[in-house]
Amino acid sequence: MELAEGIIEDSNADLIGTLVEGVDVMTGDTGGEGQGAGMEIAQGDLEGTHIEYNDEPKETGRKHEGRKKRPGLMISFEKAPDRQNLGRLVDDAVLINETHLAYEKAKGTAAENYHIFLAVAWVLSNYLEGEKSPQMFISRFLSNWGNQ
Amino acid sequence: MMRDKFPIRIIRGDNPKSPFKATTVLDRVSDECGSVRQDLSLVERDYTALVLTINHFAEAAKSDKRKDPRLYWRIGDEIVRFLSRIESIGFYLSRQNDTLARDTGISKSSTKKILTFRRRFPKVSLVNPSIPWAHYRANKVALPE
Repeated sequence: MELAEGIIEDSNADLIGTLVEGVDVMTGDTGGEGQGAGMEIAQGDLEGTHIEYNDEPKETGRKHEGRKKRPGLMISFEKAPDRQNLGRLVDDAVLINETHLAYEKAKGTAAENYHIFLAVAWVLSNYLEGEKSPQMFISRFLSNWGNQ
Repeated sequence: MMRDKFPIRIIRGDNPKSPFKATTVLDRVSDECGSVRQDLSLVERDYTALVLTINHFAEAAKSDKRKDPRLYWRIGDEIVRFLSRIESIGFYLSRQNDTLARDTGISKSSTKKILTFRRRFPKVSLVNPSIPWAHYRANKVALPE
């Protein structure tokens, strides 16, 4: 991952820079001690703004160093009884169909997370390029999950 | 050790009864911290209520010629409390100001100024209603001793 520097907005800190359009995700977390799920504070091409150093600062914040991190796949849930499928892709999020009979059975059990990963793999397998095998993709996707 | 926080991104859904959809990263599913489905559902309901409340205060602020700064404090307070609630279940709102601006109609820069104002004045009783909002907005009012 590419090294990155960002500024965490903090109203209790000193003036440090100005807002600039375009943002990217970098490692770190405003509260935890680990790598975190990422913060959108680095310079980049995603929609949004980040703070950059400026000689005439208007925004308060504190410096943060880390590495650039691509945003992970987003997921959510929807009740879609009219659709029989496991889920669908909307923008950059996979919406899992809560009313699918298999999900209803898995809900609240140890199988719920497995169903979520299976549904995500199934949705994404509809968007493979070229001759790639959806079955192999789903198998590898679930293997990666099993390996975590 | 404190738990890592995961991003929440709010997208616009196609169900008029539930216009906002809370999404988070797939990594959150593997995290040992309860049902992601229940947490996202909670965030969706909370965010929908937040937008309705902000719209209510924004309408009141629009029709108030004096521009009582306490109305803006209330808007900021609602947002701060929402952010704190989602933080307590291990999330943060991704693209916070952009998202709020999109859904409330209050511009991104105004949203940011309202939040800065609210954080500087932790109690509404510290806000002087006779001082116009424009002064608070420009960060020209000192915190009372």
